[in-house]
Amino acid sequence: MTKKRLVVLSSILIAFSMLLGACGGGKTAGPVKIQIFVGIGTGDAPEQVALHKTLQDEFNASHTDIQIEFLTTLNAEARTKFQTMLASGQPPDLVMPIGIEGVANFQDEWLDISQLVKDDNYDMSDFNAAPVAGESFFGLPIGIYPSVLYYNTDLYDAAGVAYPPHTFGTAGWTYDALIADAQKLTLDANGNNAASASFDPANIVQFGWDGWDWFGSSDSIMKFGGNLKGISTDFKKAELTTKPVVDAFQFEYDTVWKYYVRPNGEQVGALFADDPMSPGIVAAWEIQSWIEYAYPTWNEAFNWDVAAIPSINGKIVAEADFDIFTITKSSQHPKEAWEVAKWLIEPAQMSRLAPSYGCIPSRKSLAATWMADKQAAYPNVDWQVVIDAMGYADFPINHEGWTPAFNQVVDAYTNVEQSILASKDANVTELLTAANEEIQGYLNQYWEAKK
Amino acid sequence: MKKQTAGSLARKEAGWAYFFISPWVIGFILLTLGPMLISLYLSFTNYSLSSTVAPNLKPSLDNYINMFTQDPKFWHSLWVTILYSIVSVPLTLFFGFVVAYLLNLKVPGLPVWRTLYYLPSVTPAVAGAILWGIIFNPSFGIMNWFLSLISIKGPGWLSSQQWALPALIIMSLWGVGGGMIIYLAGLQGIPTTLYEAAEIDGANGFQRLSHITLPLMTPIIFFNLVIGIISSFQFFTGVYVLTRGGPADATLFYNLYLYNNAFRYNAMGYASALAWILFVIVLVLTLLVFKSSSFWVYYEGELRK
Repeated sequence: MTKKRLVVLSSILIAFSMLLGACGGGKTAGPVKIQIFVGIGTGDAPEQVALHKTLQDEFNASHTDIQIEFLTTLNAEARTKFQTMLASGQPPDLVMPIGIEGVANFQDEWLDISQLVKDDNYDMSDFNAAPVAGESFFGLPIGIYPSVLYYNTDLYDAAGVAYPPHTFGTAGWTYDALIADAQKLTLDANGNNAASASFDPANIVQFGWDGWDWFGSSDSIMKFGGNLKGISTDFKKAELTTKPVVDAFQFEYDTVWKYYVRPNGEQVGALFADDPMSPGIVAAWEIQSWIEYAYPTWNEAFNWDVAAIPSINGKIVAEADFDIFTITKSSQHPKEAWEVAKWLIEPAQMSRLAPSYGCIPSRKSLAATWMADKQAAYPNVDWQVVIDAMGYADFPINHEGWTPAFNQVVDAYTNVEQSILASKDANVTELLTAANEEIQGYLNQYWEAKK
Repeated sequence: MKKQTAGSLARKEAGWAYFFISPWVIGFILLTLGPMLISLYLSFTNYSLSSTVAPNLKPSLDNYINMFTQDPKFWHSLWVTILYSIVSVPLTLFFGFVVAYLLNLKVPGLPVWRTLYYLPSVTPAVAGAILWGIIFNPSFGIMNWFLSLISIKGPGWLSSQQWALPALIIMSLWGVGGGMIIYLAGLQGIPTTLYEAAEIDGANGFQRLSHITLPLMTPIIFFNLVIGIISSFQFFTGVYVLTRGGPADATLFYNLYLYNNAFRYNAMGYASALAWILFVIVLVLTLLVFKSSSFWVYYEGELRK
């Protein structure tokens, strides 16, 4: 054999062995590695990444049979990356934190943990809520974000309007009452309020209420007594032309174009580069408590407090968001993933994770600590309202819950909402009728494919 | 010593040529041609990225039939894209040429101007889109500030169903630098003797432009037209960052709808079908432009039939 051939043959053998090594990946003895995917919800901020690393080190130091690894992805690209991992047969074992909307996006990918919970006789009595998406039990909550009415006390004082009540179920505290107050708090450039005959809606400089700006009217249908996303409970029939749905969207229209208490689409784009409250020209805003990242900005600009959510037709729904963990159905190690999840929601870990995510720990035993921390940081705010709001959370059927063709349904509703916000000429009934037909088409397609 | 014949030398050279291009060929087959063929196959299935739902991989024409007969968003997104293309491509061709023409004149600080105009072409698209989002902001954006100088109250560009698409068309002018640099190279390649001869014959500036510059630039215009059409049909980043197709689908571009199907609606098979239809549309348009080129593109030294 010539020297040249020897070199070539050796090169081929080396390349081949490297290829085998790369493709091998066979099972080796040792601890099971559990990969935790982060990014679909919150969790990609530097301080959150640092906390995950601390928890990872703590877990790995105290366990010999299981080792964990947090895989953090930027929120903007997390869903695409997660899908790619699923499609390539390399699913992560755990996903956390993830909201109900994130769960609904990948409804078929999660393991129903009912059996694991049952086998372990796992004690859930300390949890405020154990969200169930559809009929499945996908995970326990790390934290809850109830919604409350945030209000700018300076603007209320200036307008001489009484503060909204802090007690849920206060007699007379309805959305009609809220709108009546909001009209007094909505001002034009000449200082006239929206209840005045000389009010100029073309020159509004202050709004009384920013409505449900960051969660659309479709999320509010249940407030008006309708089903989740205006779809029948068996998810086969679109019911967008029924009274609760029409009422929800007509309410949105009226607050923007009839009472002028809420900014329209153009005003939202023009006035609010960040959250609606920060510029100090919105008197009240209904939003989940994850908005706490804006508290420092608000504190610098104005005084504020929190109030109870009003009722509609005698019903109070304080739409809540949740951050839970989920185990992928295609995980190779679901039992080990469950062990890791249990460890992460133990009080010692949850008490660090929940504040980092900005939520109320879902364990009742940790609520007092959360209250104390918040009271110390913001002594002028009535934090009991936020705790009370959990009692009115939309649970177990959550406004972010799954429907067939989930994102198509969301997009159809978004178009209705944007059309209403965009133009006074918008016809709510016509828009909903068209959307009803569109969504019914998606439902038909979904069930047809299921046959 | 072994004697090499001309044939064996040619074979040896060919062998080396194949060897040197093999990384590209292997890459092309594995990373471009292979996925293309797989996506063609998937376009006839209901494949999704789910790890748990078994797709029906039996080929059928369902995706294509549904697209043309039952999907109004397909037609809507195609219409939005065509509108954008019809307006933005001629505008970018025109402004690219005008800027290149001006930068070909002897003006002070020429390298600085050329750099400034070309800079947007090397700026990341996402950064550019965010910048335009600020420019279009109705309350503090520079666009409405300019309009206010002439007593016009600017619209809420990106939140208005009427103005969102025009805003994206205006934004497309940001990218004229790419075409400009090609025009500039073309302009500098025109022999000065032609201009000198025309000047001696008494041609004025406009006549020199219309009888010398434009005819000799037609191959460059042709190239920029083809590239412009292709890129306008592939427009994605700006709309994804700024509007996500809103408000109320006013900026639902074809590529965004394709992306939504692939990654939001979990319908990769349908998205593949959309991609192939896009390919066919762009191919047909490109072929039409090529066909038309015999009527308006002038190549030096080419004999007209």
